[in-house]
Amino acid sequence: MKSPDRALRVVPSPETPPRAAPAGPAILETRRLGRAFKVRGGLLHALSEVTLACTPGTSLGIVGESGCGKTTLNRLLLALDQPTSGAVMFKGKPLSDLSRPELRAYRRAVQPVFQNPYSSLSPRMKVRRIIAEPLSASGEMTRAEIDARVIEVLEQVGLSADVAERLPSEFSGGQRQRIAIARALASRPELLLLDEPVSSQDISIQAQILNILKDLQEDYGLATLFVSHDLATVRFMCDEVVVIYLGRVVERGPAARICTRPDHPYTAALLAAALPADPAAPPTATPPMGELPSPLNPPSGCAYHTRCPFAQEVCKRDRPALKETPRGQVACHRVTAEGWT
Amino acid sequence: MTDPLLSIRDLTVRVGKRADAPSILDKVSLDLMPGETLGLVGESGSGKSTLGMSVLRLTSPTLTAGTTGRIAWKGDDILTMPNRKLRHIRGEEISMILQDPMASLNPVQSIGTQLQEALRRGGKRNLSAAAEAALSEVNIPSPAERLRAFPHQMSGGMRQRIVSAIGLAQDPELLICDEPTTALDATIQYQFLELLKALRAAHHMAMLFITHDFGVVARICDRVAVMYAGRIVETGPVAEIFARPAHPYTKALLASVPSTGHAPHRLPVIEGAPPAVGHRPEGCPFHPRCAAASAHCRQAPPRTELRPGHTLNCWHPQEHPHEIA
Repeated sequence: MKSPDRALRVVPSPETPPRAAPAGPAILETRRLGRAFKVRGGLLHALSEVTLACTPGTSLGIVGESGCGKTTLNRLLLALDQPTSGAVMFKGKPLSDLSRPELRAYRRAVQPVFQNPYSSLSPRMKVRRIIAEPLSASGEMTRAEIDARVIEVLEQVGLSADVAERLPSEFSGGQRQRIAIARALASRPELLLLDEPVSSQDISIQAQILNILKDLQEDYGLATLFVSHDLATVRFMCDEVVVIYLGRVVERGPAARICTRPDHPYTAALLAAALPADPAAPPTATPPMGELPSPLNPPSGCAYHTRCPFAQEVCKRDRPALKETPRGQVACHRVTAEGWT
Repeated sequence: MTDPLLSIRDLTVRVGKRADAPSILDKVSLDLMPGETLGLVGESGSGKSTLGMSVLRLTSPTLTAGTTGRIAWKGDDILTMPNRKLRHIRGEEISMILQDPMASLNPVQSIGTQLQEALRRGGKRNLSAAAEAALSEVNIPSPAERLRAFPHQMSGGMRQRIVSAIGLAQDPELLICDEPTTALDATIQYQFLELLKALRAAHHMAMLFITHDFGVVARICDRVAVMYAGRIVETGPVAEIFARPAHPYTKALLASVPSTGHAPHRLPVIEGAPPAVGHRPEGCPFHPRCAAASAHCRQAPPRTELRPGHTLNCWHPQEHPHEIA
């Protein structure tokens, strides 16, 4: 192959500085973020060189299968874990350099919603206290202001005020997830980190929760980072999508384009595997093959080459850089600015 | 016309013997023809798993005591059959794959031991050769070595394929699959469904496929029965139900599934949540959440056959005459 990507700007490579955040100041961004775990038998690279940014009013989707590093990324963004390379930046400053007041501002601005509302809500606290606790901890609001805020956020997620006096055990999974979202909203955050927020819900409840989240995005200009294994949900929720395989970004682009004309063969396989609720859907040209290799001993070159129907010699040898194309970014030897080789 | 392989009539499962005990299943009837795959689709608590377990009389004693109706397997009633006879049917004629392969496999026995136990019961002679062949059939690489491995040494997808190999060891005529792909990643689920299709063809099996995922139903089922609050609300050929759902629940549920093909401004939703066992409303169980509900819906809905094989229990079928033509 005659280096087809000579004309392309290659990002990031060791020589070039990390890509600057897209227009508009990012609330939270990562610069070549990496996390390796020491395990028996060496280092496990859970996440490598992930650069992304959450800017006001946008919704970013992170898609990948189990073991791709989604959870590690979420933990790093929440400062529940420290990176082993690169950095997470809050408003331009690495989390590790934040002063105590800045750290408090970060905690208020970035709020998580987790997958399982049966484990994320304390069973002993009434809903009022679950939602009010982060507010009283800040010490900046009076009792009356806090009470008013609790009712306000409950209404934003479609629950009535009397919910506040009850315990989580009195609610169904869907209602619990609404309470978890209300808690995240209480401190007037700028960014919600949503880690598979509907995966444990029934179908009819999923649609309810997704609509609430979409309302929050649009009505309050809330930025969201939506971590999911499901491309269909991400298509509905997000403007932009980042696809991760074995800890590395393989493709990124607008959600509508990723879900209709994916560049990377792995994205194409994920798309084929998102079974449409339509028995008349045409058979896919790129059916998924093979199993996820061990992240402890990842394949050489492109980590996807062992499952890729289009792999060539170069794919086994060299790791493809994440390069810019008119359609977004892709890390694949077979894709150039013009399209497929 | 051939007789159905499995014929369920008015199956009601209550929690205990008393007539006023809460019911999990309420007068469920269905037929399954030889070689056919019927999808049972519904949300959690709809009773789909209890239905699957009842077919093999595997429900807990409290539920077994509260079970009435008839489950005819090739004409014999499973509910009243002596244990001796039922033991012969379990595994040999009807087999089952569950959601969590780690719960189905014995963690302290090798794959080979567990597989050979099933093969021996199936009357196979050369057990190690038969076990190797069974593993090859479910696409396990280097089967001879894998026979010595233990469940924890394998990936989720591989474990589920081992469980299928064990389930098929005695060449059953019906395979009951209860959410077999729910715990698997999307790309692995895709491959497992393809494998099941190949196995179904090779073994001429019928399948009862329990799932909450319409995408899976579209991929693998011939017919589908939609369950809500312990009842089958609509049933018909897959192509027909997806193209022309007539029950308001089926229609609304299908509409609320996000798709990779287009992103609506908002998803159509069904307000509220499915009722819990013991709190199910009178008449049509869906009426409190139904946009088409009227005063009639407090009465048990009539059964209507819209087209051959497409039936529903509803006072207000959502027909669109212009689509039928």
